[in-house]
Amino acid sequence: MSIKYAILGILAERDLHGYELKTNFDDKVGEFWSLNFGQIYSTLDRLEKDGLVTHDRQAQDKRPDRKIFSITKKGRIILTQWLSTPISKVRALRDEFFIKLVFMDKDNPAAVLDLIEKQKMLHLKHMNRLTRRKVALKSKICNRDTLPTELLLDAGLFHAEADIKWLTLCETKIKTEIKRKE
Amino acid sequence: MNLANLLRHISLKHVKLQRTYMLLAVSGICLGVAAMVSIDIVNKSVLQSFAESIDHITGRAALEITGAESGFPEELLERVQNVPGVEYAVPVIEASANLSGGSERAFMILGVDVLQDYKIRSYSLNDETTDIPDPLLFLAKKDSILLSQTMAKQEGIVIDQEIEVQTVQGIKKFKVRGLLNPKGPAKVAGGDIAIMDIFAAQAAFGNAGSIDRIDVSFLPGEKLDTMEARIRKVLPEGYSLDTPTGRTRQVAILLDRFQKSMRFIGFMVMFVGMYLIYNAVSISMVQRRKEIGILRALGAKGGEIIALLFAETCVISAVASVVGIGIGLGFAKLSVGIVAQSITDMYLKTSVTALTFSWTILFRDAAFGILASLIAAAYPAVSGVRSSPISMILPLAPTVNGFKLSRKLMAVSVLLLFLSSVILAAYGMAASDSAIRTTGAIFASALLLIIGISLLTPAFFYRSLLIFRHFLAPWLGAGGRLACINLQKNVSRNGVAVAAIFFSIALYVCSANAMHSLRVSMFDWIDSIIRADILISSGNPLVVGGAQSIPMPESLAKEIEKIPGLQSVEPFRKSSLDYGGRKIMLEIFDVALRMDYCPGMFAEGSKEEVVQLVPGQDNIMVNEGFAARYHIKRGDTLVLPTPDGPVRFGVAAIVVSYTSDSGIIWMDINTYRRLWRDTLVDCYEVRVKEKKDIPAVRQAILDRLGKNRHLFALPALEFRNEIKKIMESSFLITHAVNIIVLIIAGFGIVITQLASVLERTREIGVLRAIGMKKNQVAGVVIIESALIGTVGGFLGAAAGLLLGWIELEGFFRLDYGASIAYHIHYASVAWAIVLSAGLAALAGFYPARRAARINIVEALTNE
Amino acid sequence: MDRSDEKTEELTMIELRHAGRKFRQGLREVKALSDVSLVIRKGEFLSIMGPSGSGKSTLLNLIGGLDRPTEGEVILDGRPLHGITDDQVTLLRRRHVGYVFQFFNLLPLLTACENVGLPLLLDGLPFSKVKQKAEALLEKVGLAERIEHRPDQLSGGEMQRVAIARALIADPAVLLADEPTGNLDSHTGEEIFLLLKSLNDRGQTIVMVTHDPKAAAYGSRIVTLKDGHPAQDICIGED
Repeated sequence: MSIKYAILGILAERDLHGYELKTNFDDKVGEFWSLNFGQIYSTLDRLEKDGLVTHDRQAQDKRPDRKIFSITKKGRIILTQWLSTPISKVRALRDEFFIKLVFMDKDNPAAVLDLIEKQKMLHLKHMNRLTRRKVALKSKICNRDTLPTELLLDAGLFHAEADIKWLTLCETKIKTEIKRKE
Repeated sequence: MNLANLLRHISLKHVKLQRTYMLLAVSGICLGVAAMVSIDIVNKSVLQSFAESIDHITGRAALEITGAESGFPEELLERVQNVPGVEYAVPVIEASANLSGGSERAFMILGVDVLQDYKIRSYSLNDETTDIPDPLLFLAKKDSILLSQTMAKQEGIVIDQEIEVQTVQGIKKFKVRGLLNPKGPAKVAGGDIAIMDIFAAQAAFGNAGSIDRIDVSFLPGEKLDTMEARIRKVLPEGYSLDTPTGRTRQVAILLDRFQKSMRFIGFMVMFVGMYLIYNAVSISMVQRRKEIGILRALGAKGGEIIALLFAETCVISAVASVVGIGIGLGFAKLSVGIVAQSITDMYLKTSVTALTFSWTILFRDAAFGILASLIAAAYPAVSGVRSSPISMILPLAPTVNGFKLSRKLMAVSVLLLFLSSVILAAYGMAASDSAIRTTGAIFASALLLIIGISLLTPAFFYRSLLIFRHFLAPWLGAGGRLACINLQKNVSRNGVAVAAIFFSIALYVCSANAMHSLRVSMFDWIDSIIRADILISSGNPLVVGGAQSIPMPESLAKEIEKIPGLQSVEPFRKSSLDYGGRKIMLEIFDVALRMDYCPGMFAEGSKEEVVQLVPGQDNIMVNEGFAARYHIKRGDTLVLPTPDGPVRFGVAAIVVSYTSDSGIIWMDINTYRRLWRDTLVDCYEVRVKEKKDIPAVRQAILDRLGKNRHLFALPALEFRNEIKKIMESSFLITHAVNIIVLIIAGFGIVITQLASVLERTREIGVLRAIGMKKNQVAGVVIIESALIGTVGGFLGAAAGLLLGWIELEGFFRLDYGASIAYHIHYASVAWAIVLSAGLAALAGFYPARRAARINIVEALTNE
Repeated sequence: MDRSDEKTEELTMIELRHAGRKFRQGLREVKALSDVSLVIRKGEFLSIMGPSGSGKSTLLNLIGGLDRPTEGEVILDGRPLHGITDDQVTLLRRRHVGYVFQFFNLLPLLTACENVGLPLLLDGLPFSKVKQKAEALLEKVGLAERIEHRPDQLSGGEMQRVAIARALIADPAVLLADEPTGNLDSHTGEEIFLLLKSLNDRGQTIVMVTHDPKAAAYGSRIVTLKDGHPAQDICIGED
C-alpha cells in the first residue's frame, strides 16, 4: 500500500527507469523493506493506470528500449496529500512471540523464561547490527542525504529496545508469579 | 505548624545525626559560660570572703574608726566612748605574724581589750569541760594567746604548748591558753588567726599606746546617721568612719580593676563562642536549605522556621550553658587558690576557703550564654529563610560568587572602623582630665575596631586567596589550587572561621604586646629603684602585698651597721593611707640617701629639687597614676591624714612607680617619723662596699641577727629576678585565657571544615576515583585550614598590635601613668602568625581524616 | 578464535578470576557479585548489561580499583589489583584507568581545561605542560571553543565530552564508563557513543556499564549480568 507512495516519492525527485528505481529504493529504505522487481513493476503498472505516473521510451543500442518513468501532476498532488496526513492506524499488536507465549506450557515456566532470554539476545544482536550500520553510515563521507536512512535505523533500534524492555517485564512478572505460587 | 512538633520531629534528628558537629558548636558557648561562671564565682567568693572576714571581725560593731595604717593614739578611745548613744567602743590591733619554725605559717593576730571585747565579739572555747563565761580571761597574762582550732589542728598545736612567733622584737614565745571554735573572729582569714591581749599585742607588734581601730556599737534605738555625725565631731580630720559594709565596699573598690579585667576575659571567651554559634547556625542553614524549603512549601511560615531555629538554638545553648555552669564551677574550684594568691600578691592578704555559690550568677551567666547564642544565630537564621521556598529546594548553583559581600556590610564595617578611629583620635588629643579619657571610651573603640574588622574578613579573605592562588599555589601543585578554589566557593562561611582566628590572634598579640610593654617598663623601673645589694626583712620580701612582713625596730639599723664591709643601711617603711576614698600606698625611705645613688625615674621634677625639698619637710612625691587620678601637678599641695590630724603637703615631683595601681606616695622617713611617730621599719636596704662581698655580708647578717628573729636577707639581684618572676606569673591567667580562646577558634575551623568536607563528599569521591591519593585529599583540607589560619593570623596580628596599644593606653596608663611606653614584642607577633597557621592546620586534621576516609563508591552513588 | 595461549595472554587487558564482592547490610550479607571470571581483551568495547542491582556497577568499580573484591582477583593490564596499598591502587587509577560517570562529575569551579588536566596535576605535573595536552584533547572531543568555560556554562553533552577528555588525559589502558548517557537525551547520548566508538576504533579499550540496550549495542561484546553473575556473553565479530 505505501510502496505506491514510496515510488511516487522517488519519482518526485527525478525521472528514473525501473532498475534505477529499485536501487534508489534499496538505498533509502532497503534496511527495513526489501522489494523485488516484480513488485515494483506491478506497482508501477497500477500507478500508470490511475494516472499518477507516465513513461517515456528511451531507445538503446543493441538492446530493447527502456521505460523512463515520471510522476504526473495528479501524482504529485496525491503524494503531497499523503505526506501531510499523519498515520491514523497505530501499529497492530500482532506479535508472533505473543502467540507463542499464549500457548506455552503453564506448568513449565523455566522453558518460558528460557525462550524469553533467547529472544532478548536475538533482539540485542539485531540492535548491535543496526548500531554498527548506523556508525558506518555516520563515519562514511557521503554526499547523499543519509538522514532518512539514519532515522529508519533509529526507529528499528527503538522498536527493538521496546521489545527487550517488554520481554524483561514479562520475565519479571512471570518470576513474581512463580514466587507467589510457592 | 506546632513548634514543639517541629522541634521533636526535625530538630532532634539533626542533633542525633550530626553529633560531632553539635558537640563542637555547643562547646563554644559551653566554654564561654564556663569562663564567665568561674570568673564571677571566684570574684564573688573573694569579695564574700572579705565581707565575711570583716563581719566576723567587727562582730556587733556598727561603726569602725580607722586612721593611718600605723595606728593612732589611745586617747581617742575615751573621747569616742563619751559620745552620747555609744554603747561600747573597744580598741583593736590587727597585726600579721608568722609562726617561727615549722611551716612558717602566716596568720593574723587580733589584739583586743580582754575585759570588754566580748561585748562586741563572741568567742567560744573548744574545751567543753571548762564552763567559763568569758574565754578572754585566759589572756590575762602577757604571753598568753588563743589560737583558732582550725589552725592548731593543722599545725599540731595543743593547749598549753608554747609557740614561737615572730614579732617586732624578734622571736617571742607565747603560751596557747585555749583553742577557739570556728565561730566569730576565729573564722577570719580561713581560721589563720590568734587572739591576744591588746597590751601584749602593742608591745609585740607596734608602738605602745597606739591602736589600729576602734569598734563602736550603739545603744538600742540610735540611728546610724545621727551617730555617725556625733562621732565625726569628736574625731580629728583624716580619720575614717565606716560601717562594716562600707569597708567591704572599699575592698571592692581596691579589687575593682582586677575583677573587671577578669570579667573582661570572660566576655572575650564568650565572644569567640559566639563566632562558633554563628558559624554552626549558618552551616546548618546551608545543609538544611532543602529541608527548610520543603517545610516552607508544605506551608510553614517564614516566621515559624525562624522561631524553630531560635528554639533550637535556645535548647542547645541552654544545654551548653548547664554544662558550662558545671565546668565553670570546676574551674572556679581549681582557680580560686591561684586568684587568691594573685590578690594577696598584688593587693591584700586573702585566703578564700570556700566558693560562694550564687544562683543569681549562674542564672545570669546562663542567660547571657543563651542570649549570646541567639544574637549569633539571628543573622544566619533570618537571612537563610528569606529566599523563596522553591529556590531553596533546588540545588545551589556552585559558582565562585556564591558569596555576596553586600555593600551594606562593607559600609557598616567602614563606619565602625571610622568611629573607632575617631574615638581613638579624640582620646589621644584630649587633655588628661577630659571626660573621654576613660576605660569605657577606649573599650568602645577597641570593640568597634574588632567588629569592624570581623565584618571585613570575608572580603579580605577573598583577596588573600586570589593572591595566594596567584603566587603560591603553583608550588603547592594540584592540592594548593584545589584548596584555594574550595575556599573561594564559600567565602562567607570561611570568613567567619577567619574572623574567629583573627579575633583570638588579635587578643593574643594584644595582650602579649601590652604585657611586654608593661614588663619592659616595670623591669626598667625595678632596676632603677632597687639599687641596694641586700634587702633585709622579716617576712619574705617577695610578697608584694607585704601584709605578712612583720616590721622591725629602728634600732636594728645600728646592729646591722656593725657588720664589716657595709657602705650604707637604709630603712624602708611601707604603709598606706586613706585618700579620696581609696587606699593609697605610702612608701617611706631616706630620700636624701636614696637620691644619692638611685637614679629614680621622674615624670615631672628633678633629683636636685627633690633632694632640696623633700628630706625632713612636708613635701612628698606622688606617682603618675595618683597624679592623673587626682589631677595633681608638681607644685600642687594636698592634705593627707596623719595620726594628729590632717597635714598639708607640697608635691615636689611626680615619679614613676608601679608598686600599686591605686596610687603611691613617696615620703621622707624623717617627715614620716615626725608626723606619724612610727619608727618601725619594714625593710633595710643594705649596700656593700665591694660587690664580691655580698654573699659574705649576707651570711654575716644572718649569723648576727638571725639568732633571735627570723630574717630574710635577700641579695637584691635575686630579689629583682624573683619580682620579675612574680610579674611573669601574674600574666599567666591571661596566657591561659588566650590559649582557651585560641582553642575555641580552632573548634571553629574544625566545624567549618567538617561542614565543607561533608558538602563535597561527592567531589572528593570523584577526585579519589580519578587518582587522588588519600594523603592528597587530606593535604588539601589541611592546606585550606592553614590558609584560614594564616589569613586570620595576619589580620589578627595587625589588629592585635593596635589593640595592644589601646589596652595599654586605656587600662594601664590610666592607672600607672604615661611612663609605660608601648614596646612591640616582635617575637610574639611572628609566633602568633606561626601559631595560627599551625593551630589551624592542626584543627584541619580531623576533617582531613574524615575526607581521606570517604568511601569512593558510596560518595559517587549518593544522590 | 583459535589463538595460542601465549597470544591470548598478550592481548588480555583485564582479567577477573573468581572475583566476588560481598556487602554487609545491617546483619545481612549481600552478594553483589559472585565468582565472576572474565577476560577483556585489548581494544575491546565491552558493554556490561543488567537490571539495576545486578552488580554491574560493582563489577566496573572492581575493574577500576575503586572497590576491592572480597574474594578472587582482578588483574589490570598485567598488574594485579590485590595485595597492594590504597596509594598504589590510586596511582593505577590515576595513570592507567579513565573514568566516565553518569553525572559527569566535573569540579564546578575549574575550567574545562583544568578539569581535563586534573589527573596529571594530581601527578605533580606543572599546569603549563598539562594545559597543552588538555587543550589538544578538548579539541579532539570537539570542544575547542569551550576550553576556558566552567561546567555551569556547558551543556550536558559538552560536560560529558569534557569528562571523556579528562578520562583520556593520562592515556589510560582502559576507559571505564558508568551509564555515561544516563543523564543525556537520546541525540546527545548518541553523539557521546559515537565519540566512544571512534575512540575504540583507534584502539582504546572501553568497558561500559549500562542498562540501556541501545547503549549496549555499541559494544563489540555484550555481557549481561544477572544476580551478580554473568548470564550471557555475546561476542560480535565484524560480521
